[in-house]
Amino acid sequence: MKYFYSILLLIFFAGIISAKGKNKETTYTTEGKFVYDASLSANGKVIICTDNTALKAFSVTTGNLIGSFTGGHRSKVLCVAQSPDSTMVASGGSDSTVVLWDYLTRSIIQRITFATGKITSIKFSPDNQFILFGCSNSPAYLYDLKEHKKINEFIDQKMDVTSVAFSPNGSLIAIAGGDKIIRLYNSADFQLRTELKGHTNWVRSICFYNNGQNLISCGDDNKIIQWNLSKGNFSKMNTLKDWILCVDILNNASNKSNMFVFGTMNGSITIKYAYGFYKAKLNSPVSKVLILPTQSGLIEIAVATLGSGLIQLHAVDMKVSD
Amino acid sequence: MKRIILISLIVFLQVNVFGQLLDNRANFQIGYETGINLGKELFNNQGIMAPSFYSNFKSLNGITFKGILKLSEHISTGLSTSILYNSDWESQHYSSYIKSNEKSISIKPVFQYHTAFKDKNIFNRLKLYGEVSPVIGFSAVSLAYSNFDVIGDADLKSQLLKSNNIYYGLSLGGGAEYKITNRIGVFANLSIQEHLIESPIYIDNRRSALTLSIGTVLSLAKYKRFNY
Repeated sequence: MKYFYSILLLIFFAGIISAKGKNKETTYTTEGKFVYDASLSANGKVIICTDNTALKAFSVTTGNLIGSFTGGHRSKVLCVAQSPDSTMVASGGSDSTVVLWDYLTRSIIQRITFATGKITSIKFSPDNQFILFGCSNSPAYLYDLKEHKKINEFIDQKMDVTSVAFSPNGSLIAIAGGDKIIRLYNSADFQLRTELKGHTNWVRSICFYNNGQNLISCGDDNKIIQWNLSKGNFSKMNTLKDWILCVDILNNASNKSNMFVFGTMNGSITIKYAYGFYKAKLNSPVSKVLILPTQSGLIEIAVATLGSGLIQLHAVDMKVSD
Repeated sequence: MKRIILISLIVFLQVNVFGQLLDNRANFQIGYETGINLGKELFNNQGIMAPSFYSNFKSLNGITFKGILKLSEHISTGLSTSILYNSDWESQHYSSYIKSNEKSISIKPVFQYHTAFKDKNIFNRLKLYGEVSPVIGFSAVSLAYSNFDVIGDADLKSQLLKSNNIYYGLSLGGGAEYKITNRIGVFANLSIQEHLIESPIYIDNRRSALTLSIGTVLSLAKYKRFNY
């Protein structure tokens, strides 16, 4: 019996040690281990993530902390976006407040407080003029940053909004969430253009690619769906083993191949590239994945997790599969 | 060895409190239940004394299933069912129900008050709870020997060896759940039960038992809004 217990304990600790040592990873120094969202600057050099009631900015190349954005939120920050011209940062929180920050001084430009639900997703328009944000109580809002006023309220959603996006040319607005539907609106007149129905559970993340001709989505049905917006049809790309919480894409215009990365509730990360897959497993749910641009040509990703902080992973250290 | 196990367990708990789990909306427990029947050797029913049928069973074992739905931060409700087997009837001075047994199945609506789920540290994985349940059940008693002398009527004789009864009562309990992963955990539950039951073949009109359940917790549904 003594030997049995000893073996059992040995297996236990071996399991813990091996689980923690599977991936070579760089962890950014956040105060909290729960990182709900992260955003990469347009030049790919700065990553800003949520960190309790603040935001933290890190250098992608060194991993060092550049600065903190504090004093804008009363409770935890849930989403963050950087403006395409890298002059502003927007954050939304569980205090129902959107805060607009000056990128360089890290001071508050404006606080937007008319929303009543928690702010779950936020994006800048490609022309830096608008921000689009979605709420946990179902509406999404388009806000004019120059006029300082709400331009439109999108109220078609029946449940929580989980992800919002602008198409690369800004002509389309996409809103997805708990009602399983992705709605596309014209940015010009805010008319509902189409409803994309294919998911059978909450949609968690959406992303335009191929210059806005396609959209990829993933969700709690464990499915990844690629939508052809010009033809209005879709194809199921893959199915993973748990809720897929986030997706990111690297468009490669030169060889017309795209690289996708997905993060799931059970902590798995899958990179799909032209020749196969890279896979890694973390101990915490993955809330955001970002493909980092590198000079070396090697694939690197930043991963925001609910429990293990913000981590940088190198695909070369990950498991390869066909 | 016990000390090593204890130290290892403490270390394990410390290591894993940082492996954050998510709150669950629905849990399902399946486990082994064992217990002891409470009460004296003799049962006093309105002045009539006789060997107690239930108190003298020395073995009480079975299985338990429980489905729990979380309603709020501290309150859950659900349904529990137990299938228990009473055997090894033993009395110092009597042999009335020797080799008898009782099988019972009970259904309990459960009202549970528990510790709140936390994003980190020990209450990320550990849940302590107290619960109260009204109980309704079905009991099938089988005696090895009749306590009545019946001559000639074989049907009546066999009837006096078996008795099926409905019982009802109350269960009070408490316990702990420890989650190992987002989906699976373990639990231990201690409860005291008081049932009102009557049968023509024994004098007891109530019974009490202290039971311990241990088993596995399966998380069936996660909170959709786990991240905000």
